[in-house]
Amino acid sequence: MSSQTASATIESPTTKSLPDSLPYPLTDNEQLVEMLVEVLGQTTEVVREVLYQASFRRPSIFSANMRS
Amino acid sequence: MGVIWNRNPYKAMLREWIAAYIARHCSGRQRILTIGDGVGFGSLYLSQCGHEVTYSELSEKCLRFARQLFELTSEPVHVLDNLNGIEAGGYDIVLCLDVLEHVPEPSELVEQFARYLRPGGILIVHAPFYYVSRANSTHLDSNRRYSGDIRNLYGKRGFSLEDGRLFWDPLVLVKGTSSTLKRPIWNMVLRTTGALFAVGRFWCTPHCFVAAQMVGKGDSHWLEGLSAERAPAEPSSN
Repeated sequence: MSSQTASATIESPTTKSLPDSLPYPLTDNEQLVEMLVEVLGQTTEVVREVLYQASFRRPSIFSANMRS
Repeated sequence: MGVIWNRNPYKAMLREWIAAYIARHCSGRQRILTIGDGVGFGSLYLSQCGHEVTYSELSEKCLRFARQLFELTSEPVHVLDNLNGIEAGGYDIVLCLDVLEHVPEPSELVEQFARYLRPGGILIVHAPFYYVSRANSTHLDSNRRYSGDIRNLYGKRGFSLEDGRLFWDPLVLVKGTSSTLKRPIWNMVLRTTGALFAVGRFWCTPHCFVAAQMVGKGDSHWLEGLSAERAPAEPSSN
């Protein structure tokens, strides 16, 4: 999961071929954690835990902001 | 957290819908300005689709993340940290998703979008004005008056409804009068949907519930290696 993979393409009769809608590094947790550590100035463990909690969250009327 | 939202299947589907729409309805490489694109994956994706993309964002942390992202992927996305000095009429498309509900006067920002676009340019926008809840503390209650409103927010700034997805996520508006309305019935359906959102001006609990179900769900598919408790131990220095 840590290596950059070539983008898959989606063919449709009405559109040109499009890249994978989950562009790298969205599918690479290791890379994402590294980038967030750099930006947030938090430890790797803290960033991992925050990402874990956010990924595991169940739907709720009080679900967190989409952008923040 | 913006990164999690960006790999939500719903968000991925939206990215793809927008790119497919542009591919179907606009010929060639488009000059696209993204407004408040957060961590930058929308801009990255459109650049990967072959468009000339300018990313703008005010959050310093998001900007830093996005700069890393564009460097890592070697995508030539132009980065702006403010909206001053944007070329008037310089863009074919302005993309603004989930931003207007945060700003104190959305109509002023929409007016700016009209300035950035060339005549006939396209505004792709989504703004859940009704989605005001405890966890969305930056969604302004004062903006609920725009829920379901195309005429006052966009129409008065020179935009015409062109297309969109059923629940306005997103809407596609054209600068000027739409001369190529390809789907008049669909256009009417979209306008009718606005009546549902207009209810959100006064009572938004059901809207918030549905929105939370649609977008609020995390995706446990991506948990691998994230839990700090399960993370591999750092090698000892002894």
